[in-house]
Formats: sequence, C-alpha cells, structure tokens
Amino acid sequence: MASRLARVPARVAAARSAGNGRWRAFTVEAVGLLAVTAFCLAVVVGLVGAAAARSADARELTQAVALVQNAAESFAADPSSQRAPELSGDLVVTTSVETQPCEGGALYRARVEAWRAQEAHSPGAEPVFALETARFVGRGRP
Amino acid sequence: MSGDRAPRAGSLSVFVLVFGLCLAVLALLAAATAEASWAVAERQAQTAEATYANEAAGQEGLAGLETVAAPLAALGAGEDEVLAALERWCAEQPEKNADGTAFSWARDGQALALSWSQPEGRRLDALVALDEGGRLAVRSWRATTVIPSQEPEHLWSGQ
Repeated sequence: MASRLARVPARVAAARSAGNGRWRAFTVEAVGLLAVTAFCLAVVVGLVGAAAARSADARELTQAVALVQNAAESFAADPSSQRAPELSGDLVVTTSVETQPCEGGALYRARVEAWRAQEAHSPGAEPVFALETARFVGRGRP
Repeated sequence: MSGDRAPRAGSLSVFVLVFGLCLAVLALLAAATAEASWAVAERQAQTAEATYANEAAGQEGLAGLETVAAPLAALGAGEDEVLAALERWCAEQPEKNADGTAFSWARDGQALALSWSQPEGRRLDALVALDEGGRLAVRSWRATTVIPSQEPEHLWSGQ
C-alpha cells in the first residue's frame, strides 16, 4: 500500500513532464509556422499589390484608348480646326495635325496622344496610348 | 496551465496549411484577373491602332486617287479614261507598306474596290467611283475584322 502511494507522485511528475514536452513542441511549431506564415503573407501581399497595379494600368489604358478614339473621331468630323489639349480625369489628350495640300483637296494627318496629366510631355515620359489617323477633304466637297 | 491540455503538435500546421492554401488561391485569382484585364485592354488598344492605321492609309489612298482624277476631270476626260488612270495609280502602289499595311485593289465595273488590311486582321474595304462631274465619289467605306479560321482566337492564354 505504501509503495503504491509512493508511485502516485512519480506518475504525476511523469505526466507533467510529458505535458511540458508537448507545450514545448507546440511553441517551437508555432514559432516556425509564424515565420512561414509571415513569409507567405509577404509573398501574397506582393502578388496582390502587383495585381492591383496591373488592374490600374489596364483601367488607365482602356480609358486612354476611349479618349483617343473620341478625339480621333472629332478630328475626322472637322480636321481643319485647331484643338486644345483636353483634360479628362488623370489623362490629357492632345491632337497634333499636319496639313498636306494636294491636287483636288487637302490631306490632314493627325497624331492623337493620351498622357498622364502630371507627366504630359515631360522629358522621358511616354504617352499612355497614341494613334495616327488621317482625313482627306476634297475641294468642293465635305 | 495543465500539461494534459497541451495541444497536439501538428494541429496548428494543418490550420496554417489550409490558411496558406486559401491565400495562395486568392492571390492567384487576383493575379490572373488583373493579367486578363490587361490583355483585354491591350487587345482593345491594338484594335484601335490598327483601325486608325487602315483609316489613315485609306484617306491617303483617296488623296492619291483624287490627285490623279482631279486634273483629268478638269480637262474633261471621260470616265473610262479617268478610271484607267486610277487603275494605273493603284498598280503602282506597293502591296505592303513599311508600317505593315497591305493594299489590294480590283476593278468592279465602273468602280474600284480598294482594300487595306493590318497584320492583326483589321481590314478596310472601300468602293470608289466617279460622279457625274468626273470627281471621285466614295460609294462604300467599311471596316471589318478578319478572324483566321485555322487559328482560334485566344483572348489570354494564361501566360
């Protein structure tokens, strides 16, 4: 009976020791996983950030194409009039027209460009979208 | 803190694995959607560029034809004579410009069928004839897109 009672604290100590071991393992695992999770989160945040930037670029390009097409159609409707740069949102649309007189009329060539407003025509900057078009107006007819 | 209640090693790993997988799927979907949006926008930009390149080539063609037709009309030349001069002008034009615009033409009765096309498939067909005064008259001006039947169109292949 006495020896049986003596064995109880030994069992409790062993269980306590095993429990401590599990906590230690859990802590080591948690610290490791925290590092892995932080790395994964950094990668994911980078990827989502790049995706957001790409989406913004796509939205800007779509807007630039629409604005440039509007300006090109406006030029086609009236090629001889002067056009001031048009500001629309963050973009500025410019139309430069060259006139080439020819037999029987005049050929108007236009280059329409959409620029970011803050960097329009600054050195090294490139337009978001640009296209070239032309319009021939015969003498005596529209 | 009771030792008996210590969590099993590995349970947290499973949770983090599932969490990480969900995040990875989310990030991939975001990246794929953004890339597809960009592909569509770029495609739209190319189409607009090609459409207006055809338009410019067509208008330059009209100017060239008018340069030939106007002096002849002023001299009172007949319709056949003017059309023959216009055909000669068309025959002198290169089949492909430096910017990639292809040009083709054919006589269509008392009119000329002209066509300009871009490598991307945008095409402009025009039919020009002479009006009663011997001046150039545009009968039709049609922009179309030719889709090659052999190669199916892929908006974005995921690359």
